[in-house]
Amino acid sequence: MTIKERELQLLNRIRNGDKSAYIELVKPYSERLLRKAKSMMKNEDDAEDVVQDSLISGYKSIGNFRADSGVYTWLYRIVINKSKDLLSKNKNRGEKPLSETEYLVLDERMGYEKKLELNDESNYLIKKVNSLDEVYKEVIELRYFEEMSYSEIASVLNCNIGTVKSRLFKAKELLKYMIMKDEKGENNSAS
Amino acid sequence: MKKEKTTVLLKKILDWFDEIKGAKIEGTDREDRTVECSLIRSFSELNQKDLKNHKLSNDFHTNLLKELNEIEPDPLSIENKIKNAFEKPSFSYSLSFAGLVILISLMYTSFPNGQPTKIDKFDQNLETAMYEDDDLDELDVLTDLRKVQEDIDLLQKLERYYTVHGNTEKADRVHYKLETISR
Repeated sequence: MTIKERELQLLNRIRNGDKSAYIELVKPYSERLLRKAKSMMKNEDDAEDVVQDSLISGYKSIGNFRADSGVYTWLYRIVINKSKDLLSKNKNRGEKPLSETEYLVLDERMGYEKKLELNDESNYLIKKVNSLDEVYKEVIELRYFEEMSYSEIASVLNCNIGTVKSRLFKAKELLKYMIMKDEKGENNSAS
Repeated sequence: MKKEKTTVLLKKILDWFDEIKGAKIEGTDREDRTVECSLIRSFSELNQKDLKNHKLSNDFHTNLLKELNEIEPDPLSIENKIKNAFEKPSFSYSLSFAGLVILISLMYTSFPNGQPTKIDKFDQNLETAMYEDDDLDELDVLTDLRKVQEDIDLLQKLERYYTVHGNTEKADRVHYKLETISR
């Protein structure tokens, strides 16, 4: 049975009132969703709250979920929206945003600065990706980090597949250009 | 020192690509594939190592299930109700069947020999309309018909048609209607 078939089976069970089937459906994605929430919230407790809130919202709207886009993509979008909502609420409440240092310590992925003991090649390339403009970094992250298809990326970014492809192409061209520059010794900042 | 390290890294990336590919690729293609493969490898490594750092609390899913037991899913939106209805096989079959019936009806009316014609249909529709709608009085229909010469012509054709085809009972009824109109 493929993942898609399994998910469709679980969706049917959920629609027939089996709540534990929903847990089975979302469990494989929960930690990936937590990672996304943490990258946005910069706070572990808030991130877990966001994931819980998102999964509850997902359950409420399960009847209207159409399996075309994939469960993970659908939940990923909910997490992004919930994180944005909470960030906006915190901002309105006048809560002090985290300092840059705290951000780096707490956020274990954004900037890819944490010592994950990646090999030199990966560290080098990820630093290069991190220096791209947000629009290109985002599309590279969704494609290679979240391992989403073009249509899933388009669904998350709310744009068409053509835009996704052209952004990815441009992002890789920029990376190539930066690598070539390093190769020629024009950019001494890379290491 | 930094520059040397970068050059070594780049060389390693390119060599690695050559190794796995085992084929000689030149120019831009080679660069594109190198970048692509490096991105896949690097992010895959990052993904695996990074995911270990993100753990939900042990009772997260138990608590979630408790929360779910307190709520019910929202009702379906109208848009999705319509979509679901269209996706149901029984509905699709009904739709196809209805299409088939319409097609057969159209074909049927195109063959006048011994088959019901448009005139038959007109008569049937008139009868049916009066039968189905209690508020619709036959006289009202006939009064409306009187105003339109085309309709009178059609009834005359209908009478002739029934006479020629030996359906005298129906021919008489149409004749009666024509008389009523002309009064």
